[in-house]
Amino acid sequence: MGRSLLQRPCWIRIKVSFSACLVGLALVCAPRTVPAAGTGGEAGAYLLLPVGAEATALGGAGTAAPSYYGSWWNPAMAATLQDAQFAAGTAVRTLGRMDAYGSLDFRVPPRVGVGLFMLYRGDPSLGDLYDINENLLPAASYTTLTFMGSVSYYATRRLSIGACFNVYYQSLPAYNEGGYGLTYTSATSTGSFDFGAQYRLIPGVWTLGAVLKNIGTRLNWVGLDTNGLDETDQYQPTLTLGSSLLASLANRPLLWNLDCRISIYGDSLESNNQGEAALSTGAEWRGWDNFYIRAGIGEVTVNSDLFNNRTLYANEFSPRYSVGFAYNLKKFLHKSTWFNYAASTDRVWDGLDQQFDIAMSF
Amino acid sequence: MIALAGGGDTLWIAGSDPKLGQGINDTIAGVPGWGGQYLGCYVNYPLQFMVYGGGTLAALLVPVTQNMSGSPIDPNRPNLIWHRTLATQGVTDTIQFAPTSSGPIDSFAVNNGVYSNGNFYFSCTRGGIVQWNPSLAGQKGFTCLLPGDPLPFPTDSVNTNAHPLFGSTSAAIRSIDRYGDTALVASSASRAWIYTEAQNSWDSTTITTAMSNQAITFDSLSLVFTNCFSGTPKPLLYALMYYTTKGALDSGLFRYHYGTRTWSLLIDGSDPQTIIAPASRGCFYAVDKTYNRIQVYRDSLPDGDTLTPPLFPFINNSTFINRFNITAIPPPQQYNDILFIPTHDSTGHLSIATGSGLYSSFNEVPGITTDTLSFTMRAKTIGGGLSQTYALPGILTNGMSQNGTLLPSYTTFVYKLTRDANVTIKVYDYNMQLTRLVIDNQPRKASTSSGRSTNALQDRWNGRSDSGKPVAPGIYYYKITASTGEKSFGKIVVAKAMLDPN
Repeated sequence: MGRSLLQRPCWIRIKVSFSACLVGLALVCAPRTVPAAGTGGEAGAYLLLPVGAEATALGGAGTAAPSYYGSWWNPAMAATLQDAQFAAGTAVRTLGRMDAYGSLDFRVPPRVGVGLFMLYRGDPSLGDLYDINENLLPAASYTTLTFMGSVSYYATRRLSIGACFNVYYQSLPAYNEGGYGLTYTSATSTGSFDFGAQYRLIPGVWTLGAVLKNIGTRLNWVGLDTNGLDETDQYQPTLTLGSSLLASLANRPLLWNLDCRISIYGDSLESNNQGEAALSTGAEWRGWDNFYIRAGIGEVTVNSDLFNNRTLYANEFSPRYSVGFAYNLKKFLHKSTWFNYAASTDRVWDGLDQQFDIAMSF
Repeated sequence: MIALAGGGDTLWIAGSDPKLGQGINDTIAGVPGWGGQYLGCYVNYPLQFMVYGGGTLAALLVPVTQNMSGSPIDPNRPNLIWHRTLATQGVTDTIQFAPTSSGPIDSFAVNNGVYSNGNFYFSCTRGGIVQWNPSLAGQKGFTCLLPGDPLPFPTDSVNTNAHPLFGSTSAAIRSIDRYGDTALVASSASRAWIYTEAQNSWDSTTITTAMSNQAITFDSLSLVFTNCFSGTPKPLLYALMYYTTKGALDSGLFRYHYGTRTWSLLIDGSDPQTIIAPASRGCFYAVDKTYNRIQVYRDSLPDGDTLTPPLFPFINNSTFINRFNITAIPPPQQYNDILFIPTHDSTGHLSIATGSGLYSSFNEVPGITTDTLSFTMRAKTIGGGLSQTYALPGILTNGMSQNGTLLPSYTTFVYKLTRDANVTIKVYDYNMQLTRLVIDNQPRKASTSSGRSTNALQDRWNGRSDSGKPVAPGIYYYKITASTGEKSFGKIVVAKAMLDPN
C-alpha cells in the first residue's frame, strides 16, 4: 500500500501541501510583534509532555492516529478499534519527574467507542527545599492525577469524532499558616472537556486528526494563599492538528507522524502576545515484522522570536529529540502484545527521559 | 606523575604510568571543586608535591604503593598519601593557614614544597617555613621553623621597602626548594637562605645578591630553585629575579656562581608572561605567552663565567614553533604552568597547564632538535566551579514568617563559584519550557570560604514569566550555568496566589 502511494505523485503533492499547511498555520498563529521567549509557566504545563513510549519516540506526535491512550491523544480513536486495548507504562524523567499511566479503550458495536485513561505525573522527590531561614524543609512531593473518559462515534468510513471528560488534580507543598512548617495545598477540576476528530483521508494510509484540549479547565486552589485568598487556575487550551501517513522505505512500511500544537489563551482561538505553536514529528520504520524503530523531534516552537529575534530564538531552541523501538512479545505473550520503549532528551540537557509501556489487544 | 595547578583552582594529577592514564582528573580527597593552590613538586624519585585547597593540605608522593607508615594506599586514590583538614587539626592559629587580612592565598609561598628525610617543608609568606611530618597526627606533625607574624624571618637592609611586585612584606618567604640532600634553600624578596636540617640553622652569607653584570642592578628575588639533575657536586642554584637596567624594571632567570659569588643573567625575561621550568641537562623550558611558543635554553656556562647577555635558545624559535603548533594546544591560550618531569637518562614528560586543560608530551629530551615533540590533551579543566546551589526560599508563597512578617515575594538563587565566571540563570516549567531568563551571562565573583557568589539584587525570581505574568502554581526548575562550563539544576515550588498586575 505504501509503495503504491509513493508511486502516485498526487498524494505526494497532497502530503506536502498538508504539511505546509500545518507549518503555515503554526506560523500564522505565532504573533510577530512581541518577543515570545520565556512563554513557559502557563497553567497545565505538565500536560504538555507526551504520554506513551510510542508517541514519545515519534517526537510526541500522536494526535492523528494514536495506537494507544486514545483518550489522551485523540478521543475519536476508540471508535475505530477492532479489538479492545489495554496499555500501561511508566516514565522516568530527569530532575526527579515521573509518570505512571494506563488506559483501556474498547468499541461498543457498531459505531461507538469508549476510552478510559489515568495518569500520575509528578515529582515525588522534592528533597532540597529550604525555608527563608535556610532550614532544610522535610522531603515533599508534587502530585498530579488526571482521569479521562472519552466517547467516540464512527460517523462515516472516513470520519470519527469524540469527546473526553477530564478530571484534574494537583497537590503542592506549601508553608503552614504562619510561614513555617510544611503542608500541602491541592486543587481539583472536574469540568473540562477535550474534543477530537479523526479523518481518514486514505483509509489505512493517511489519517488526519484535530484535538481541542482543556476546554473549561479551572482549578480552585484551596488554601494556596495563606492570607485567605483562593486561587483559580485556568489551564491553557490547545488545538492540535495532526497527520499520520503510512509510506514505505526500503520496501518496508514507514509511518510518519506530524503534530502542530497551537496554544490558545483566554479561552479563545485568538492568540495573544505569548502565543506560539509547537511542531512535533517522528517516523517509525517497520523494518522487521516484530521490531520497529522510531525517531522523532518534538516541541519545535514557532513563535515571534523566529521573525523578530532569531538570535534569541536560536539560543532558546530546545526541542526534544527522541528514539525508541517496539517489540512484539508474541513469543512470550499474546500475539498482539507489544513492548514499547522511548528515550528522549529533556530539552535542558540534564539527561534522558525514558518511557516504556506494554500494550495489548484482546 | 605530575601535578600542575592551572587557572588557580584546578589540580591536575596525571598518572606515573608512561601512558599517563592513571589518576587523570583526580582531585584531592574530600575537596571537590578544589579552590586552592599547588604548593610544590620536588622533581626527583619519588616525586612528591603538596597542594592546598578548601582547608585541606594534601601531600602526594609517587610512585608509591604504600604510605610512609607502611599502610597500603587507598587503591581508589593510589597517589594520595596524606591529607589534613587543617581547620579540624587545630593548627590554624599556629601557622596561620586561615585567611588573614591579606587573604588566604598568600598564606603560602608559590613555590616550592620540598620533601626531605620524612618531612615535607613548605613556606608561608607570613608564617615562615613549616616542617610537616605526616606520620604524626594532628598538630604534632607541624613544626614552624620560623613561625609568627610579623615575620621573624631574618631580614636585611638590601631592600626593606615593599616592592609593588611583591606585596607589602618584602621579607616574606617567596620560595623554598631542596638544596642537596640535607638542606633547603629559601628566599625572601631580598635574600636567599640555606637551611641545614641537621643543625636546624639558617645561613644567608653564602649567597649574595651581587650581579656579574655591572649594567644591571639587583632589585628583588622572586623564586629560587636548584637543578637537581645536573649531576654536579654542588647544586646549581637558579633564581627568577627582578632587576633594573637603565632605570627600567625587568625580570629574568639568573644562575648563581659560587666561585665569583655573583648572579649572571641566563634568560632575559623582559616579557613578564614568560613561564620558566627547569629541565634536565641544565636546560630550561620557557613558555612565551605572548607569542604562544616554547623555547628551550641550556645553561652551558661554566662556574665563574661572567657573561651576562641572554643565551641563545638551545633550539631556535622556528623549530619550537613547529613543535608547539600542534593542534592539540590551539592558540590563543592562557598558560598557567609548565613542568618537566624526568623519567630516566634525562628524558621525561613535558606538561603544560593551560586555561583549557593539561597537555603532556612523551619522552621529551631537552635540546634534541630532531625531537618531534607532540602534545596531547590529558585532562580538561576540572569542574566544580559551581557549587551549593539552591533557591531561598524553595517555596514561593505569600506566607508569613515566624515573626509575623511577610515572606519575600521572590526567591534568591544561592550559589558558590570557586573562580570568577559569568553566570546565566534560567527558570523552566514542568515541560522544560523557558519561563524566565533571570540573568544572562552576568559576571560574578568567586566566593570566599564562607561567602557566596550570589548577587542578591539580581539573582532572584519573583514568580513571573518573561512576559511579566505570574506563573501558574506548580513545580519549576532552574538552571544555573557558569561560563566555566559547570551547570546546576534545582527546583522551586510556586505556591503563590499572586495578583496579576494587569
